[in-house]
Parts: sequence; structure tokens; C-alpha cells
Amino acid sequence: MPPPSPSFPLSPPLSPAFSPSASPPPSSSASSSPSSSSTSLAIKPRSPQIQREITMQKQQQKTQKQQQKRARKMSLAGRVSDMLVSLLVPLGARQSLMHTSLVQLAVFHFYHTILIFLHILVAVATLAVRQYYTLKNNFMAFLYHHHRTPQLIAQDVQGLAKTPRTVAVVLTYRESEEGGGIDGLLEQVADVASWSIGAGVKHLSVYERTGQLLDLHETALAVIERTLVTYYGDSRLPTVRLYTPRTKTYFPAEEPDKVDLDISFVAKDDGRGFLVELTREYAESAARGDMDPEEITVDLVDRTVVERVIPEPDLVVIFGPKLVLDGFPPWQVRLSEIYYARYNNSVTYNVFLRGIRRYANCKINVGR
Amino acid sequence: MSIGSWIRTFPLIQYLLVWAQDIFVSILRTGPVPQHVAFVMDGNRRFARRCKLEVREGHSAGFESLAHILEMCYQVGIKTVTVYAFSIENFKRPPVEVDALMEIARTKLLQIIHHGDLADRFGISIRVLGQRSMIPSDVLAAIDKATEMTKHNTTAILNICFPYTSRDDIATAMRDIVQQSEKHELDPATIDEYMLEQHMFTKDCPPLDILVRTSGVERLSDFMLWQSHQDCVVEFVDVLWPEFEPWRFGSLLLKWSRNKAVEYRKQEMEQDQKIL
Repeated sequence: MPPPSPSFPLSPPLSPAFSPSASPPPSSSASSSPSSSSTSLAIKPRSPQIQREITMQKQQQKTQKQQQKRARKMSLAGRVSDMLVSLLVPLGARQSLMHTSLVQLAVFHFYHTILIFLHILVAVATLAVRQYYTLKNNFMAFLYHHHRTPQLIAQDVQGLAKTPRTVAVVLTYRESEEGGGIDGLLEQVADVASWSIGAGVKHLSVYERTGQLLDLHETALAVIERTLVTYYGDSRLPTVRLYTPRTKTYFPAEEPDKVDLDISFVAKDDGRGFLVELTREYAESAARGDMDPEEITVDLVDRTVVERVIPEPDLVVIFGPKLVLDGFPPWQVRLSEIYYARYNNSVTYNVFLRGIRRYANCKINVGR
Repeated sequence: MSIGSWIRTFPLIQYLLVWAQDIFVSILRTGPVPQHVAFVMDGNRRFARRCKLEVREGHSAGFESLAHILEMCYQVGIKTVTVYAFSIENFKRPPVEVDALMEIARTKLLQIIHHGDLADRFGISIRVLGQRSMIPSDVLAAIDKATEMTKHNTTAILNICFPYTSRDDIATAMRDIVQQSEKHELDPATIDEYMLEQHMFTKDCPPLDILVRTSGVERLSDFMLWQSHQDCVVEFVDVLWPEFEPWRFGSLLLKWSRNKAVEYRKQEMEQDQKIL
């Protein structure tokens, strides 16, 4: 925020006050003439009148000066407090809360200083908490590792009360970073797909906000199969089918006999965007008279959304440090268990597994 | 009895706590404050079971807790508070409990609009969001009275979602728009996110900043799906709703306020760099 230049509030009252010689030129000539004439007696009878005029003028000048002075003072105080108010409003504070009176302002800033201290305390506490969770994440990564062995994954999910059939993962596209870019993203998808097959998941939705993956089927499948080979070997290679709801394209295009895992790629526009599109479609057909608005119910919309986008996932795993859904399709997260590991910033097996365990322990009772 | 609750039985402690809370609120007020906060009040029945109370008493305890939280919200300066009071799915519960909930809703609604109570003190305009057709007539009368009496208040808004589900909200908005289109009142090509938002129950409310769900359950359960899936901070708190204290909520607010301040600072730095 550029501060208002300090010279500006002072300049307007200064010009008339500090240059009295320029403003009253007639009075100066008048005041000089009586001083010289006071010595000559010839013009004495006229003097009381002139004197009165002079005193009047002087008084006027005085009051003018006083007024100017007062105005300057007033405006100075006013301007200073205005400036203080405008400068001292902390970022994010509401203007309506700010008071023009300086006492109230002082009280405000007293409290605000404490708030800043509290913020610092929060920052320190967050640091400690982050250390704790990073340690925990590392420890869990040490404890649970897939070792590219499906049997180990099966063992990890064994004995769970239930395992999710549909899972969604929220990934983030990172540019210019180690393990980032499209290649990094594809590796992540391949990893998650391998774990999902190991854990008995049937449908995997990959959400990536910017939609980098939507039409990369061929490359994606190559990377996934390359990774799957390291898990399952060439002989028992599971079949994977990719789908992008936006373009309605499958890869491979013809349906195989048996699919172990369906993967759908979705992006931000499949969320709110799809609902808007759907409304537009309905509106158009209603305008043509093909549809009765009363037909639009939660059931109808739900059927359409499941058919044309992705089904409601049992579990949403966010591979990010914060619990932000990042624009994930809103209609679909109704009863989904949402899992994220605090301060985790990588796509690791232990986070995925912890998500599945959380799902196993949760109890969903719709309404009851 | 834990040490904390034992200390609270001391004579002056309660007084001091209230005083400390007032100061804490004055401190929080001076920083960034969220505009819209939503609560899923989960855990009333588990609380009742744990304390060996009847279910309806659990819900009453939940209302007490809500009153405290609301007071803090409006003191801090949060403009809009939305609470999930009753889901459409909740009609599946035993009729005794549904009746008890309806009764609580009716009496408490009439109570908070009383002269000098919550609505009057903070200038709250009460709105009830949801399917009106499902509400029993006596409760509906109370709702109409409450909304009518408080509709001139402009300082703050209290949205009570009753009976509500977010999917129903979205579907209703879609139906409204399609109905207009059927009468040729609007051009289907002009339909966009904003228009859909303007047909939802939360149309006049600022965007949702924080969504709090208590009792450690980590899902949204059909609440504010559209409003919370983008930039909203979702907080799952592992405390039953009747035990969710203003202090706990205050700590969430403090965390939010700090993150927001950092965000503002970053924006400011970016702007400075642009100028340079």
C-alpha cells in the first residue's frame, strides 16, 4: 500500500498562511501611508477615520489569520487522524470497525497488538505441530511400505470391516519441481492405481484441478502398465480401463472381457461446470416443451451425474497438506469419507492405506 | 471429575472466564474475521448416551451449546452463521425423536426472538432454509413468526437449515431455473454458476469461509456441498457438539485469522513487486 504523501495534507493550508505579503497588498500600502502622515499635522482631522479603518483592517487581518491558523490546526489534526486511520487500519480489518477518535483508535491498536502476538504464538505452535506430523508421516511411511508386492498390500487391508469400492484421489499439478510436471503426475496416478488394485478397489476417480490428464490416455496407460508390471509381473497383469467423462472417451476403446480397475479422469469443470451444463440442457428441453420442470428431482440429477461423470466415491483421499477440496465435484462428496494426512505433501502408500483404514472404521448412518 | 471441571467450581472462576472470553473476543475483532461460518451440530445423541441422559435432553444440551457459540460468533463480528439443524434424511429417525426435535425447534425459535434475547441483542435476522412442505404446521407457524419478527434486523443473519440437504438445494435451484425457462422468461444460454447460486437458499449470504463439523466424523453429510468444495476451510473437530466450547471455536478462529493475515501479507508483497 503506497502511503499518502505527507506533503499533500499540509500544502493547501500553508500557501495562504505563510505568504501574508502576497495576499494583502492594499493594506500594506495603507498601513505605510498613515505612519508617514502621522508626522504631518495637515491631515490630522482625517486621522480618526483612517485610524479606525486601519484598526478595522488590522483586526480583520488578525481574525483572518486566526481563522486560517485555526483552520490549519483543525485540518492538520483532522488530516493527521485521517492519515493515522487510513495508515493504521491493519490488513483485513473492517473499515466499519475503525473509529475516527484517537482514543478508540489507541484501544483498537492495543488489542490488535495482542492479536499479532497471538498470531506469532499460533505460528510457533504450528511449527511444532508440523514437526510432529512430519515425523509421524515419515514413521508411518517406514512402517507401511508396499515394496511393490501385492501380497503385502492385501495383508495390510486384511481383516478390515469393509473396504471401499470406489475411491477418488485429489492430486495437484506442480510445475518445475522434483517429481512434478506431467510425468510426475502420471507416476502418481500409476502408483495409486497399483495400490487400488491391491486393496480391491473397483473404481478410481483421479481429480486434478487443471485437467492436465484428461486427454493423455495413451501415455497414461503405458505408464500405468509399466508400473503394474513391477508389482504383478508380466503373467498376472491386471487390466485397467481409462475413461474421461468430459470427452466420453474410453481407452482402450473396445471393452475388455474383465476389467480390474476403472479409472476416470476429472477436473474442475466436471463439478459445478457439469451441473450448470445440465441445468442448461434441461432448460433448453423445457423451453421446447419436451420436459416438465417437476421431473427434476434429486434422484434424476443423481442418476445423470453418476452416468455422465463419476459415481459418489466411498472415500476421497486428498494428497495435500490441507483439508481443501480444491473444487472436487460437489454433488459427489455427499457421504464420502474425506481423508487427508496433515502436513503431508507427497503421494505415498501410507496415506492411502490410512485413508482406507479410516473408511473401514467409520460408521455411516444416513440420517439415523 | 477432571481437574478442569473441578477448578471451574471455584467461586470466582466462572466470572473470570466470562471476562477473559470478552477480552479474547475484543482481540479477535481487530483482525480478519470470517464472513460466513457453518456448523454441523453432530454428537448430541452420543453425548446423551455417554451422560446417561434421554435423547431429547441431549438435543437440549446441544441447543445450549449453540446459543453460546452463536453469541461468540456475533460478538466477534461474523455476519452470517448457518447451522444444520435437521436433515431431510432425519425423518427416518424414530418418530418419538423427530417429534422431540420438532418441539425443541418450535420452543427455542420462539425463545430466541423474545425481547432481549439473542436475536434482539445482536440484530439477527433469522431465516429457515429447506423444504417447507415437510415441516409440521405448528412448527411452520413458529418459523413464520420468527422470520417475520426479525426480518428488519440487518446486523447479522442466522440461517437454520431445517429440513435441508445440499443436493435438494441444488436440485431445487435447477428446477426453479428450468421453470423460468419453460415460461420463456430467460434464455438457456445465459445460465451460469452465478445464476445457479442466486437460486439457492444461501443466495444473499457471503461466501462460506469455515465449515465446522463436530464429533470427529470426517464427511460433509449432504451439507453445503456447493458452498464448501472450493476455498472453504473445513474443520473436523473431535468433540461432541454439546461439549464444543466457545474457547475451542475461538482457537479455530484465531488459526483462520492468522492464515488470512499471512495471505494478505503475501498479496501485499506481490502488489509491491508489481509496482516496482
